[in-house]
Amino acid sequence: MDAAFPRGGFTAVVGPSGSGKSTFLHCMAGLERPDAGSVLVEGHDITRLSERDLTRMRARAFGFVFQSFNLLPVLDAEENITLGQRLAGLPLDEDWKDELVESLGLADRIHHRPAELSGGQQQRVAVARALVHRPSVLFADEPTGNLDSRSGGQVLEALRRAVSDHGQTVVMVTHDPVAAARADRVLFLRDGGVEGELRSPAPDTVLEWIVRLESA
Amino acid sequence: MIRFVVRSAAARVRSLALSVLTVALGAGLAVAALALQGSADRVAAAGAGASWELSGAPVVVVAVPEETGLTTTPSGEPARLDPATVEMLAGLPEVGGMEVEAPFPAYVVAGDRTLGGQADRSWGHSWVLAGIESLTLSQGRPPEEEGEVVIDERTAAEAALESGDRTEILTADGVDTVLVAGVVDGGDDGPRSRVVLFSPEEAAVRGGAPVLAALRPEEGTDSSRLAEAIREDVPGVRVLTGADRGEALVLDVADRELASGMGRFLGTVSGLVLLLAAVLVAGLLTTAVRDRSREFALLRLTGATPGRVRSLVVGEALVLGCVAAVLSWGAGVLLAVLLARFFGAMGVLPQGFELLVGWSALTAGTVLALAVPLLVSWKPARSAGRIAPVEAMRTARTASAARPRGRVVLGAAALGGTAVLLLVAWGFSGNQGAVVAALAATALLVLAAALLSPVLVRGMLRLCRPSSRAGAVLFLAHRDAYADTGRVAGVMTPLLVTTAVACVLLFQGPTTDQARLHSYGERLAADLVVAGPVGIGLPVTAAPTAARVPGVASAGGFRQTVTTITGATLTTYLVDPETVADVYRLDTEEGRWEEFGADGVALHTDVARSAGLRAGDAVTLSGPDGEPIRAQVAVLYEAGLDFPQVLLPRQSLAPRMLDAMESAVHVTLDPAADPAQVARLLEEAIDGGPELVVTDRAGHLSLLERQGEGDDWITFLMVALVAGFAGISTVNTLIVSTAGRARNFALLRLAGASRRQVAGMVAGEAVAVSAAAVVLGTVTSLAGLAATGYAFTGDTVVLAVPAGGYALVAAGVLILGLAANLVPAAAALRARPLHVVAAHG
Repeated sequence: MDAAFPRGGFTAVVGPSGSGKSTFLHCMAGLERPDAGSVLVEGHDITRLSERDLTRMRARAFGFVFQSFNLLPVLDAEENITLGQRLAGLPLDEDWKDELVESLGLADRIHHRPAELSGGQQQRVAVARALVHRPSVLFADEPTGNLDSRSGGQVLEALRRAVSDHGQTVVMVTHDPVAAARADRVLFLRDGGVEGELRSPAPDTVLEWIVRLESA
Repeated sequence: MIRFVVRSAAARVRSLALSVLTVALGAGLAVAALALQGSADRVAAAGAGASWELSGAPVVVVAVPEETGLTTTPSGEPARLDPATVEMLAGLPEVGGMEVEAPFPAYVVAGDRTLGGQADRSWGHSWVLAGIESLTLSQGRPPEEEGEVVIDERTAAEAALESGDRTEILTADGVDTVLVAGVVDGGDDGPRSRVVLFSPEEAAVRGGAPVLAALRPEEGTDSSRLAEAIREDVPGVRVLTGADRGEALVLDVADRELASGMGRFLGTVSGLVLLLAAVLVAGLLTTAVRDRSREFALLRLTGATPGRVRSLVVGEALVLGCVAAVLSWGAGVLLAVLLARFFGAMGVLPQGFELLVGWSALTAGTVLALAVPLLVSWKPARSAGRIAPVEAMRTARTASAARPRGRVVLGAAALGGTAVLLLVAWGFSGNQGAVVAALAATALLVLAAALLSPVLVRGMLRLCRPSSRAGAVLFLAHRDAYADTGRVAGVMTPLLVTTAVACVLLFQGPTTDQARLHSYGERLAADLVVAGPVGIGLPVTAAPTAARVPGVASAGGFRQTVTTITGATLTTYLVDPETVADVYRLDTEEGRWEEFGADGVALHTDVARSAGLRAGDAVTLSGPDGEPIRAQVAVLYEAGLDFPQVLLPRQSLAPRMLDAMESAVHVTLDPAADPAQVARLLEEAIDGGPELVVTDRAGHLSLLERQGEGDDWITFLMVALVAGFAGISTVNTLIVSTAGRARNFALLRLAGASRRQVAGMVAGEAVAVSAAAVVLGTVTSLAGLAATGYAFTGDTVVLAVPAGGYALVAAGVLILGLAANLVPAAAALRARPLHVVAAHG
């Protein structure tokens, strides 16, 4: 498949189970290497990078949000958010971090450990962690899959504002039409290929696509 | 349920395999220890190696001591046949011929050294023994008159002697020049110890009362009839025929020492190893239960009762024990063969030793292999049963930071017990009880440190907090450790115990030796000490000769042996009573040294107290040959633990001792005498062979210290076995611990950490934990040893820690900790982070 993701855009990748959404995302994010083909990020083919360079690339240019939050249980929320900067040895933009914490509604939970946070709070910590270093691309894999609608809405709002207010690029895998409708564009996948594309999507239209793809 | 347990165990076969190995090795070592001891006991029962078979004499008669207890100790002396018994035997009509044998120490002097030593005795015998033992001459002829000897081939080769040569021999009478009339064959069936064979007449004069009589029946009488006749007519003797004849002449002290020493050594090793196995398996199960908390929560969620979960953990321990039991047989046999070879190579196995791994040893191994995991699974099983079903629903995991209260209480109790024991050791220092209390305090202190390790880890991590700001790796290492101090303590404890056990094993000997020497130095009033070759000693003429040297005020020799009073075995010196007050510095509690004469005995106050004796009381002691010694208590003296508990006049026991040499001679000088000049005169005057040395007190003590240093291969073997086992088990624990952290490593990688950073975090923690374990293990063991040293001397803290040995232990534990952390971490890091996170849920 071929797909391009413009800078400053919010793209949702939608498809039935087994369509290859997550594999597609992992390949784009350098978490898995494709058997063939290339992934170009800002002109660099990341499939040719060494593991070390890829780690550095992930730390500096990418941000990740997973369905299962994947926070370090031994660190509190603030330490989880700043972990990537600390690991990469990069200076932390305290104002930006505070703004993120504030806008994600985490200010009063910032010194709590993951076990002391709700699922929605944990995922918002994960979003803050993914955005704190102003990545070129934020990859989100089913970020609302484990959340109730209210918590999910808060997470999607955070992603939306990252694009609209701060000009960041977000690629999100989801099977939720409501979540996909928050994106600028939806890519529909089936059996490892791109079946179509929808710009300025509405939830109903996305749902129709999903029904069509699943029944095909 | 059983199927579930087996399936669950099978699913975790890799981590369980390591636990199985730990238990199997511990139980295997116990099997090997019991098998070796059993084999050694069989040899001892069959005559302790029977270096003399006496097959040429159909019937052999030995005396039966009144009390047989002591004859089984290393210093056991054979009882002597009295002249009336010998006469009675010779007069029996069934006796066709009789020879008697009375061995005595006799050493060939070759150039500047005396051939033989403590573990390689050289005995003088009558030539008739060669006939009884069927020894054949490889050179020359038998000794025919005074001043002629026949020696064994080994000694002849070492001394470069042939028949017809002249050489010097050292005996209790001094150094004599003799003619080597011949050399006896020392082939496979030849005597194991060195022999110097004299003419029967000369041997009878030198050897004293016989220890055995070898008899031939009169023509027409068979040997069983002769044996029967002796049993009927001669009281107080034991009649030996067939293979039992080998029991009549057992002179190899090394064999006797091994028979009891090897058992003590292996018993200690297997005890330590099983204790370590219990600690380590407990740690492994606790770690495993923590790592599987979600699994147990899921079981609870699906309807399993807490009892069912507990049964699952205990059941897995039972499966582990069963497999370990089977493996322990193989491991036990292999270890027994290897250890037997090792002991054989060191030349310390009794002659005739044959390894037999009996059912009792295998059964004991099985019981231990089953018991250890079952016993230690109780606590982890309880923890598993308490896991709430809701844990399965949690999306984030964090280890409980709560301190296990029971463990802390036990640790505090152990610490309190240590304090009490140390107070006892301090209050009663200079007493055997104080040393036992100090040693128990050492063990309890190590136990307390192990129990309190989570608290100690938290304290140390608090202290290290500032350093965690130095970088991401240190920050992560600190946070990771702080979040789960239980895990870190679980890793640190086996390293701590290994360090402490190795330190105690390695340094207890040198510390005790140094304490002993210190106390001995305190008691020694002599200005000069005359000593002969190590383990051989001086002729009995040395002390009277020394006393005649100008400038010498007093000279007293001593001989070391053991006696018993009311069943207690006591270290005993045979001394010249009139010199005791001159050469030793002993405070008397009752009686006066002037009253200590030929029929007296001087007792250590502790001995007198426990036996209820006072000065003036009559007492009957048993000698090392089991025969009584009747004496009157002349003096009760105060002395440290180093000093013998009984002083007896030489003549009360000397004629009954095989080893007729003096251990050393203590000399005090006239106030105006020049020590150096007197030392020279003593060297010239005393007929003690080329290795005679005269030293001042300090020189004598440092000589003893040097002599004590060389003989610790057995300690090193013990350390190697225990530390090796502890090392394997530690690696085992660490592998399980690190593997359980695979999910956290993967999460770190997903958060942007490089492999190097994660490895750095693991290494940082490993170095810190290993270093802390080394420090704690060292501090606890050395504190205990210092207390032992103080308890021993009663007036000063003694602690002997050879820097080389300690550096080896510290470096070994550090490398072990680092390697055992990094290797499994590297393996865990090789997997793709996403896959790991997905697999761990």
